[in-house]
Amino acid sequence: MRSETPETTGSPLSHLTLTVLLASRRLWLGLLLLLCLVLPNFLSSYMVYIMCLLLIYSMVAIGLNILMGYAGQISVGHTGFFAIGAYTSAIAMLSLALPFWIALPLAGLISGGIGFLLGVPALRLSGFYLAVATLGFGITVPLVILNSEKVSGGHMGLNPPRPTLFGFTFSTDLSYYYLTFAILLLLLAVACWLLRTKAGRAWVALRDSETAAQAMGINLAYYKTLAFAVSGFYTGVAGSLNGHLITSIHPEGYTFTQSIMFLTFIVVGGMASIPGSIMGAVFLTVVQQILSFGFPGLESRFKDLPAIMYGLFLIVCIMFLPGGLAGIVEKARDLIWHARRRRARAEGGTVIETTPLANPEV
Amino acid sequence: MPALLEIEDLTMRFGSLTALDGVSLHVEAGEIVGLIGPNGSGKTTCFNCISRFYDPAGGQIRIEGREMLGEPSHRVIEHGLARTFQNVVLFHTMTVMENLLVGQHSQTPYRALAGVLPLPFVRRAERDLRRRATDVAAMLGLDAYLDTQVTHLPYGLRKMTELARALVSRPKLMLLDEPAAGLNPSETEALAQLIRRLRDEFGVTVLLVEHDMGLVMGVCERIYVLDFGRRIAAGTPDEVQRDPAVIEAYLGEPVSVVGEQQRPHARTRAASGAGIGIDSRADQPMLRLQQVETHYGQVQALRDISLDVPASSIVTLIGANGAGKSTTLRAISGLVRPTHGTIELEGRRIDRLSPSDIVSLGISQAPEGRQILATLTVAENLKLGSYTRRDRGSVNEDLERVFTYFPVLAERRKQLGGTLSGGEQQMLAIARALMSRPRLLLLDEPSLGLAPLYVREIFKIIETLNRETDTTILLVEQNANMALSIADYGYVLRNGRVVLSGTSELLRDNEEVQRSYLGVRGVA
Repeated sequence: MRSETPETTGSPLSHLTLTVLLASRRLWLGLLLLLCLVLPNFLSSYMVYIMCLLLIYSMVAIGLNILMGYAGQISVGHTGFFAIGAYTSAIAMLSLALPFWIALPLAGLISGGIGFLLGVPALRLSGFYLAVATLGFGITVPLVILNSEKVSGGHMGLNPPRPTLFGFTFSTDLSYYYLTFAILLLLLAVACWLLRTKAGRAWVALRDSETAAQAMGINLAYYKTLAFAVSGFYTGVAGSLNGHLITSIHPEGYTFTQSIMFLTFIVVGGMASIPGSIMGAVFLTVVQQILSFGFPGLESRFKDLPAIMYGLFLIVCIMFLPGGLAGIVEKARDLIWHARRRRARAEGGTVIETTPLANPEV
Repeated sequence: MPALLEIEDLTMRFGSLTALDGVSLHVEAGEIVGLIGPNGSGKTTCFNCISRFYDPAGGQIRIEGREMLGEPSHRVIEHGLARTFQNVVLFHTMTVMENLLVGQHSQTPYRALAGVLPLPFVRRAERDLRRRATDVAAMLGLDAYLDTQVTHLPYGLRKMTELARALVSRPKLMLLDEPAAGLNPSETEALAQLIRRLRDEFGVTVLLVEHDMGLVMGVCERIYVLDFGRRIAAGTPDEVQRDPAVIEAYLGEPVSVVGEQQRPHARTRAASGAGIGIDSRADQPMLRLQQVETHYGQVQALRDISLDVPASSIVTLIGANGAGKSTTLRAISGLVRPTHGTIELEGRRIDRLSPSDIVSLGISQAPEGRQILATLTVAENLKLGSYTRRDRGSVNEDLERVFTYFPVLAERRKQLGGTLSGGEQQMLAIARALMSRPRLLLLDEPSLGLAPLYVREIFKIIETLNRETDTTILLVEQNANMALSIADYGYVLRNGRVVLSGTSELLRDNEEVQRSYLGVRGVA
């Protein structure tokens, strides 16, 4: 975060506008939070359902971004974790009769544990080879689920119930939305803390230079597998929440296209950016909904419309927007910052030289 | 009390190449020790063995008596050993502050997953890490840049950040790999003072690999000299500078490969006054560089290079590592764009042409490190050298002609490039450069990493080529005596400038040449 130095000169109005735009990140976040809490009350049940999806996809995007954006390890098989999370908590509640508040963390932990195991080959593989290994993982998991009929129900799938906490059942989409929102806030805070401390620094360090990271005492094996585990945990929790939202899960629901969708979230939103992860997930899901509602004929004619859309967005972002949506925001902030500095200088005010190249903190 | 660092009989092999051959050295606490040697002598390999990036074939490395060879590389820092890298390896997406926090990874007193919650002891630890980073940054003059991303820093400050990153971990021993590379003389002087401060104020022992002899001779109390992976000398700077083995390692063996009488055309030209030097500019040379400057990013590599290469001659550029020899060749062949000055081939400016256009004008380069294609055969490698040519028929003719100069390659024409020995690969690189029928051949360190026998053979071939095919040759060499024995003229480079030039006879006996390699004590 850059430190803003208030200027003594400048017209009061422009000064106020700019201060609001720049310095009051808290105000913006507060408004956004309020919007997220109030808005669903005025929406139809279907729209609330879509908003639940936005929250769940945001969790996946954060988890995947920790792995890819921060630690620099690729995965094109995250649908596997999404499926593991959904099936773990469904089986825990249906077959083992465990309560939701145990089933949900269990889904995260099992998925994270499998992520840890998947991280082991990542110690020897990188780039294309790791991509192929994770691709295999994403394709294998639904097949294993399909063939474990006794526990998973095979083709028939499972019907995970809406959760009950302290005697209250989250049966309406609105109540389920608030539950999901609370969990997202928790996961968001955890991600921010983790990335700002030892683990996050080690991940970025090994992404930037494995050699130098080792010389700093960073155990590459530990931190790479840890990144897979944490990423698996986030995606597993999201998978579980998704299962209890749609209350009907099938192995066929976990496709390669879904893995690509997750990948597109973070590329469009911005690699190594937590706000970017959320922006990407929200943006793409909203665009997809607009396409299928605004042009009802389109989706029936092009069955693979979403896949085409992800491909298109991936190419456009990689070619023209390497920083994604978060990069645009960052650039806009720099422009405003420069404009403000220029104006202050033109008006003869003193500007304390702070660097415009300050890092995005999260 | 065991020494801080003890290395015994260290041996490291890469395939058939022995990079370190039974090297022993020790560093006592509180010393500043230098490790020097010509290019490819094994200095960085030695550092990489100590940091456990390489697994040596034999020998022992002990820090305060504890054996290090069983330790993984990320544990080395816990024994009080920090290092810098030859080409400055920072975490480039991070700020200076973040780099200094990662530098304290081994000192961070909580487990990575404790960071999921803002626990009080995590917050306290983070505050301490930041304070330490701020303190060290202030001591190295980096405090104004703490929140600047390191890629936006100028080169000198990046080097300083790397030093700070090593220093924040409170090391007992710091390994500095070419800290002066790319620094200008005043920055180097500041660095010398800083290295002394590291020891005097921070109690850090320093082991230093460096090519800037002024710095090494100025700050080190003891020096070890490596050549071809062997330790050839050890002692104080004065002893090392006078050691005949060291002088020979740096300047090459003082033997001429060809008799004086074998170079009649060169001698006559020199005698007729068309030699080199500022006063002979009237005659148009084949190649002329005037006040050429180049930069790598913000690092200035060439400061002022003016030189002439007369047609049909052999001209050599000599000078210590980092003097700008290879960069001069890269500027001529178009691989580096000069930021100032002109390069003319027979009066025509070529400094704005693309590398491929320059090749088609008749300039061909055999690059340093050979860069032959390992998975292609010898014959295929050679045919690649004729890539710019249209006359397919005579390519085979040229192939045969090249083979007459390199009979070894003719025998091995079906063999894969990667299976050749180092000397044969070097021959292949020169032969490939010849395939484009150059009028001017640029050779970059043809003797690098080769055994003396091969060096002599390659120099003989270069000499023959020049005499029989009338190819003009510009030769970059560390082995100064060998190069001067076949060259007509020589230019001595230091810090990106021509400091001396003249006929090779004149340069051969010049003490200044020796000084430009081994430096003068106290002058940084």
